Amino acid sequence: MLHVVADVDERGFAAVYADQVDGLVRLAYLLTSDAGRAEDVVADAFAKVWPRWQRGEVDDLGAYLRTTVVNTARSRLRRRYLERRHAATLDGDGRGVLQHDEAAAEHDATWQAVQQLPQRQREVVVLRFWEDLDVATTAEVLGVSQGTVKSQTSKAMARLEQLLEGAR
Amino acid sequence: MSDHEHDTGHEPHEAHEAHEAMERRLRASLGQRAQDVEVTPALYERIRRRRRRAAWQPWALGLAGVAAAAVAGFAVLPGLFETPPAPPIVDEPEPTETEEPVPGDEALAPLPMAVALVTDDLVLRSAEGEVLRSLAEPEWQVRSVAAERDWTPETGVVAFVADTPDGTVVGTLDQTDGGSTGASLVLPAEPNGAGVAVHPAGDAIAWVAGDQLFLLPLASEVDGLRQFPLQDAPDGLVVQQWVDQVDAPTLLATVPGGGAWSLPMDVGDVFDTQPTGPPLELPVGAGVVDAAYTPDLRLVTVTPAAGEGSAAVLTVDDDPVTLPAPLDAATELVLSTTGPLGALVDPTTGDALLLTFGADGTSTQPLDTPASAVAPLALGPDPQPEDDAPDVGEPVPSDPAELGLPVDGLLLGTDGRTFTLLAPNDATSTIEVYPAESEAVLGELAVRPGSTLEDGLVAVESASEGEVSVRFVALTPEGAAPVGDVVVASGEVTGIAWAPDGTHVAFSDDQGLRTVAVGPGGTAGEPLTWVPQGAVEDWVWAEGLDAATSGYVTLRTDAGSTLHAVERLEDAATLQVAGQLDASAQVVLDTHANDGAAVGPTISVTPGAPVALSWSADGDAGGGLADPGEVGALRGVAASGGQVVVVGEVASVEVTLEGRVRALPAVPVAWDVLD
Repeated sequence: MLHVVADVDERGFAAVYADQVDGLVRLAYLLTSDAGRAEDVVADAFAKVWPRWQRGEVDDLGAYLRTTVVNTARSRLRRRYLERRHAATLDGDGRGVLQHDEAAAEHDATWQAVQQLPQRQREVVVLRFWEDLDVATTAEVLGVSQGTVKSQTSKAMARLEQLLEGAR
Repeated sequence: MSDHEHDTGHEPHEAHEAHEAMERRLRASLGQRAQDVEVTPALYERIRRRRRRAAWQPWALGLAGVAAAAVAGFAVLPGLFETPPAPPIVDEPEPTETEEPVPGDEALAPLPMAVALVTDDLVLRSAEGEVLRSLAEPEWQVRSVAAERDWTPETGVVAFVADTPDGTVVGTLDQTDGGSTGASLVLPAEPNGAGVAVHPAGDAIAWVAGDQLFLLPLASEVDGLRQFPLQDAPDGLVVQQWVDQVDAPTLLATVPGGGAWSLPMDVGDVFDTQPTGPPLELPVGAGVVDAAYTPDLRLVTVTPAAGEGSAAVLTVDDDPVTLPAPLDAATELVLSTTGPLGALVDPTTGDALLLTFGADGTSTQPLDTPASAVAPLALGPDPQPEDDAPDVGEPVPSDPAELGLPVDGLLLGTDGRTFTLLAPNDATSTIEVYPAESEAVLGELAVRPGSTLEDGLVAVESASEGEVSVRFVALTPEGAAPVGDVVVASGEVTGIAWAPDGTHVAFSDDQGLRTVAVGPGGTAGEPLTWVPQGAVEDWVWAEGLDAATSGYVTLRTDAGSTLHAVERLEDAATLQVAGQLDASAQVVLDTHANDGAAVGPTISVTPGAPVALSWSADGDAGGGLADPGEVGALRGVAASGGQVVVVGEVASVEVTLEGRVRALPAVPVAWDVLD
């Protein structure tokens, strides 16, 4: 007979999950625009990070999870042309994903503009203005220089102004 | 002055205020959108399950072995994967700008199209032969490999059978940790033919040794290895694939040189599953040496060359594909499939053929590999492009003399950066839109009606760095080249369709349906927001019963496909909805692709549940859909506006609803549907 993971581990995981999951799913959603994909990304992140946490390889679990979500979301977008082939069976209520307020999102011009940003600029915008990270931490999460964060922020803001102006 | 001030041209104080205003707006919008999302209660269990599966790997097979040893005398191979082994990465990914290890960044290592090869080792290898990872132990000789259905180089379970100094081992590798963890079990009797199969969701592995079926669940809370005697099983039954059909999960097995069998299993949770009866012989003939199912459950069988002058044949259901040399002379062939791909390998010579199973049929491509058996397990993502502009390569026609042939089909390459044009007489032309090192990918494709291999236009969806656009590629005698404006889409393009006269393209994105006047300086029409969200499938002009109607657009939505009547307007926004058709309305669609036919047949369709299809040629009505269905079935019919080719006398034909055609004998019908 095989045994489930030890109870102490389960309690620890449950606590981390309760503390982190809402923020991580929302971060993933802001990066992917898809509630179902966001949960997939977070599930991937937990599966990747948890063993390392247990082995003592992770100092700041929250930061590590956040960075993994950003990287996994980007990876998923790169594979979207493959995933789309299965979208009909994976998306929507059929897999238990709660629908977000799509109507409100459609009428949010700023959100529509954010979704048109190149992925790196979108990441910078979400991390700086939703996660409220400073330039240095954003650079650390993305694995780029602080100069890159600044320039990408600037480009993103200019592009957003352009898009919102065009939407009027 | 900041970069942002330069970008916007504002005065400093104006720029600062504008920047702050944009920040406030962004924070409000992102905060509100984030609040829209609620975490589903099922997520916790999903993550727990994945954690257990990952955590199981380093030690659970040991326990499984202990449990099994008590029953069946199994021995546990000690020491293997006692700690999760970081697989040796042969080609390290390029360091990031900071050169600090970035969590989760393993998934970002550029992976061109990847296949798993089985040689003496188990490696992940790109289609070009580059070794990405090497997974097995030095003294092991891996003999076979199988993977869960949606395996990728980053996620999923791979099972293998290997000869080791300690005996025959069945092992698993799990890609869920960004690298690979694994475990193994020494077997008292090796699986027949080294055959092993992975449950489609990666929940268990199965194999047959002698006349015993073994199932090994891969979750820690479930009992270990289970064993079932197989009644009336043919000798040497080799497990090939585990197919998770909705109503009849089954294991596919073969006997080399003796045909194919299915082994029905219990319906229900995989951990309760067991065989429900003896193996059932499939009606594919005794000469079949290997078999597999495509993702849409079409049976693929291989009949090898039986002697001099005979050719090996691959059959996908009823459609045979004669294998190209040198595989046509092979007497032993190994077939494997995962996802949309398959491979056929001559284990003696290592000659291999990459197979792509699409709705439009099966395409083949020789694979340049070292001498080895090959199992293509998944596609990896393409690398990022350096230049956003398409780098359109030269077309590679199979026969230059056939360049003038009309294009009657289009296939997206499995690498996501090429497409292949199909023409009569099996002529093809492959266009490389992006180079191999690019990460831009193609999505939806549509060829302008009337195009030939050397004169035509193809509309392609291109995705790069999160930006999606529609581009146009011209087909010329000198090659292919990008033309016209790039049209930036809003979100994902879900479908592209050409107007029958080739002057406009309609595509659907997050904003609805849009039309584009095509040509140099062509401009995009305004989004037609009256159109329901959905993927445009077809656009046909019609000789409808309603005189005001000049065309129809089929949209595919979550609720199924709907057919919309449209009017042609003078301006660039070509379409205007005239209303959704009543389910009982009859539409007469002109088939534009039958110029060579003696008589121009028309196709009548009745949208809605009571599907009927009929057409006339020489005044004789005939034909009909074999199955009832919804309006979505009309995709094939609507595609007839440019894609169904009816040649010569048409007597009768049966049509299925998935775009496939079963022609009655001696009925000359060709059917191609654009993807």
